[in-house]
Amino acid sequence: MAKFLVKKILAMIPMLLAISAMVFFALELTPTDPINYLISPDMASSAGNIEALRESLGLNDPAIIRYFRWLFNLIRGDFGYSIISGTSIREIIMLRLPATLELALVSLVLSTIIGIGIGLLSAINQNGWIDYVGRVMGVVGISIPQFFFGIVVIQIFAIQFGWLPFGSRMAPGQTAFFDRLHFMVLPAFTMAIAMTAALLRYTRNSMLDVLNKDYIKLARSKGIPEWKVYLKHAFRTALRPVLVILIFRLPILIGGSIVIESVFSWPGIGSVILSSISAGDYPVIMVTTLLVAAAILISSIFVDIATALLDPRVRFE
Amino acid sequence: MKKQKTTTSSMAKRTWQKFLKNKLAMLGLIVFVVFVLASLGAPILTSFDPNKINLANISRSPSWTHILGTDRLGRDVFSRILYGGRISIFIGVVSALSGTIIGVVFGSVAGYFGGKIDTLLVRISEIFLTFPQMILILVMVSFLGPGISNLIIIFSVTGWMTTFRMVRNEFLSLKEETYVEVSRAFGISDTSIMFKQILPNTMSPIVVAMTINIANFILQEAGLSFIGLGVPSTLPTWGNIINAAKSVEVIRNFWWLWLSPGLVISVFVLAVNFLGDGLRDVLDPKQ
Amino acid sequence: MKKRIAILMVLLLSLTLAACSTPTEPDPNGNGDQKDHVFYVTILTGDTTDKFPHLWNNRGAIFQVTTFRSLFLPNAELTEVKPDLASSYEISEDGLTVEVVMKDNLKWSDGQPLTAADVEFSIKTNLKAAVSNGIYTNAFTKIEGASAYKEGSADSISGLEVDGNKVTFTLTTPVGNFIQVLGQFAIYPKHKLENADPLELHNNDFWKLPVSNGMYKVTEFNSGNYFILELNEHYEGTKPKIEKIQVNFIADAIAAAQSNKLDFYNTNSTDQISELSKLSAYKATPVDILFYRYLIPNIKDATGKVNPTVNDVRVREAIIRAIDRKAIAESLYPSLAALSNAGVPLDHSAYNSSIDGYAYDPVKAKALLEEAGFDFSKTLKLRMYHTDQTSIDFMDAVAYYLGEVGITVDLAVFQGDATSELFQVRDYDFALKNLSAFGFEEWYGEYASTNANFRNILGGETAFDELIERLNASTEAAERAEILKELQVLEQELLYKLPLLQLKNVIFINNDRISVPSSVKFGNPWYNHDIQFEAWSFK
Repeated sequence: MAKFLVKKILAMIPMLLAISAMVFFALELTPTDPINYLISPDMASSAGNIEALRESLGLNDPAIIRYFRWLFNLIRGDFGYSIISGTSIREIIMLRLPATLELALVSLVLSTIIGIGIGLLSAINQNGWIDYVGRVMGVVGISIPQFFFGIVVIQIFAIQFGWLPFGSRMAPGQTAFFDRLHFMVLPAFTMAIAMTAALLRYTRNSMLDVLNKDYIKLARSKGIPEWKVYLKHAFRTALRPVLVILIFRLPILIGGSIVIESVFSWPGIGSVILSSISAGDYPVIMVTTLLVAAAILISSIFVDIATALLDPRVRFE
Repeated sequence: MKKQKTTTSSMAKRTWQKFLKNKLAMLGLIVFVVFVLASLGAPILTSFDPNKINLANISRSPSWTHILGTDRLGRDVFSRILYGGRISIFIGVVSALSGTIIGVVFGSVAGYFGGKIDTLLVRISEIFLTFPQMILILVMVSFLGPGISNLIIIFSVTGWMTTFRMVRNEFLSLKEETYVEVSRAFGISDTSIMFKQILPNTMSPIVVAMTINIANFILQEAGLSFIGLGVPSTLPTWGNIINAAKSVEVIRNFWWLWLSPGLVISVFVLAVNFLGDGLRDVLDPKQ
Repeated sequence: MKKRIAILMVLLLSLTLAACSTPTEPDPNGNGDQKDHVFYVTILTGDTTDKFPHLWNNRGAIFQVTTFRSLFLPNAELTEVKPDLASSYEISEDGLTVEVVMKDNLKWSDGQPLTAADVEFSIKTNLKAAVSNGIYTNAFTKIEGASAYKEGSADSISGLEVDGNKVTFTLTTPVGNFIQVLGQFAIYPKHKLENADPLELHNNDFWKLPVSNGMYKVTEFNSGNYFILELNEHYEGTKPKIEKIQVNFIADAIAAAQSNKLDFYNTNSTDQISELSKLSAYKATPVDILFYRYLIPNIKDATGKVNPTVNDVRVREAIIRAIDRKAIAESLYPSLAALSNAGVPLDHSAYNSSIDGYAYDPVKAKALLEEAGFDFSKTLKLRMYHTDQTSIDFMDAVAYYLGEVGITVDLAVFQGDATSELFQVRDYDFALKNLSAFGFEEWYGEYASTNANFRNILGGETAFDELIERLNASTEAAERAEILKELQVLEQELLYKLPLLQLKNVIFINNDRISVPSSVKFGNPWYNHDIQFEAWSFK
């Protein structure tokens, strides 16, 4: 087991290197220039000193030199600075990550409980009314565009009724976690809808698959009580593919959701990624991309571990 | 036990009968077919050119002439939705199909053979999963320029990994089942075992994943148009129509501009999903 | 056993994740009951949200004009100035010497004295800064010795002398709007920024809690969420009645307005205008500003390589005649847009009424295209960098009209940043551009052969140079009008920019909460001018 983990973690390093190189050189191919982005063409501007800034930031060096310089600094623990705002990237992450984490965690927990719960009930009562409700919920949830749903709940709950704030994460004097809980309701709810629906569908389908397996039929024929069949035999196996889906949602804990964050002006990592991409702010894109990539890789290790734990047929290689 | 030898015709007949009984799936199929036919038959159903602007007649509410009203350039919304359906459905279905094919082929190869090729394919899939889609899309768009075929390529390239993982995991478990061992002992070729013996047993999650992908791609098309990276705004697609109506002003005052494309997207996606669910129930050889 | 360890690992990792997510931010003031006496403004997110926006690019936001001052305070038309940090000025007969006298005993918000040394520091730093509005660079490079200083061959600027509280500028050529520019130029504190790199001044950590010299100072900055302005006790002028301003970073101004969290806002977005106009609390004041919307043709690059599609002036004239600008303006920008035929607005006294109005005439457009031998089988690349829906609708309509005269149009939004795409990548025939100008000098400055950007699409054409130079130097209204009229004839003849519309801006004030003296006149909200904020109060 320990060996397995070490092996997996070591395997992450070339992956991350490959991804960082791909991202870096891919960015080279886009026509976006962070220095030019600093001055909007709507304002009259002079270009002389902009060139000096480009030179002083070392942006005129060949891409390959810049990549290795960046990599070397990263290895030394220097994340670098945003070209656009000059803020240290470490600081940007420290500032934005808590916002992303709290929103993603709440909606993740919410959607997991609801999604798996209804999914299981749906499968057990296949073709019953719970199943119908569950199936309709599952489908409706993934059929509505997220930004559209977000705007509609803002219209209803923030504007028409005025019950909840329309966006942002906190107000002055309401910075403690429980004081600003109401800020989270709409974004967390909107974010949870689509996740719940997907989980619900997978849980239901996976549980149905298992319930049709021979060993379940065998267990039933042996006279084991239904609840015991579900909980002890079916549930465990059915959860395996669900776990895959679930664990693959973990990276939103780090990366946030670009759509949700922009609709609700939630100051998380997602909005940082979006704005840095449109500005070509490559030091920020590189670090946030690698963070998300690492989160995804770690999640996939979780998937392997979880699969091995839950399925006696698969062993740690 | 799993390899029931049934003649194909009676199998298809049974499947069809089972399908007929599934009301939601039938409803999904009907809606799907109606939408597809309506967009194909757009010139018959409406006489309006979807791109013809009429600045004397902007933001009109539904009437007998314009049954879904006109948009902010005076274009007929009904006509735009019909013509838009052609592009949107095409993008969704073709992308999902090609994404699924990539995922299934890679997944079965990886899961069945294991070893080095498995490691390699898993690595590739992980790189794709890990590679932030936004950047990939930005790069591809700057390479290829925005447009329908490029969008399909982007969706297929970025949308095969879930299918891949599922198929691979299923294959990992299924290849240790007795019937695979037996087939192998009989000297049946690997390709045949993979695609004829094991694959049918993994069909249901694939179908479900594909329907989710069709839905996703239609929704993603809307999302990409949202940031100006989708299909050029001069082409009507459902995404472009709803995105042209995303402002607060439109949402509050011109309900027909957002409600109709919104409902069309939702209803169509719903139908696709019900259809997929129905197919899953019907196709599953284990039932 | 191994499995137990594995379970433990998973649990541990999830716990770490969970622990990281517990936010531990202190509650700074804890009093939510003062809500009614806070003046709310917004910054739309998408801009940097962890710093106070620096003032050498955009200057006119209400939280900028109330925190930082310039030497002079312009009126709403930006033509006349009142004393602000300076008490008086004098310009020599030949227009080459400008003497400015500073007020005595001025202080920064941290109590340090504000002197002529801060002015000298700010001008020197501005010359070396990377991000600066062109109006400053244009004026300050005319100071004697400025170029040498800028290039680094001199440590000081010979034409900038400080003597006690007197600053003397010696110019190489007269600058018509020098005093007006000084009325915009925000003075920065030398004692705080002396050691900062001028190239990256706009990003300096100073902006996290800047020391200011206006009525207010920044007292709290909550990154990504808001910042608070409170009274600056070192401000020597009239103490404002409003004691606290909160600037929120938000995505949607309408939602803020509907929740009564918006007291002042300006916009030229038709969506926002129509929504805010519906809220009875808000009073709308339209202001005329120099905001141009026009098409720029990609004619030839700096080396003289020509783009044959748009090189013929008849093609360019055909394009502008093919577009029904009036109909588009009226339907997409009702009461906000005016037709624009040149750099000077139609209702301005310097407008040259002898120039053509480019009336909508598709027949003539077609004839012109055929006369010019336009290749109708080629696709015309039309590009834009705007992503707001009204602009997209606008360009859809333009594309439609061009289609009507037989041109196949490929319309798309640029993928990269606007400046690179417009002037370096240059993969287009026509592109939509906006210009928010301080004066006519900027619109015409774009035609200059020395313009670093436009050189790349106009091929460094020198036809305009002499007139532009005269315009820059002239201070006299009558003389300026004459030059402008000549410029309009020339720009119509060459048609290097296709003027479409000029857009107004609308200022909204929450009339239920805020009372603004009737004497206040609003001008261009992107520039510094006197809005008498000290007299504003809560109702």
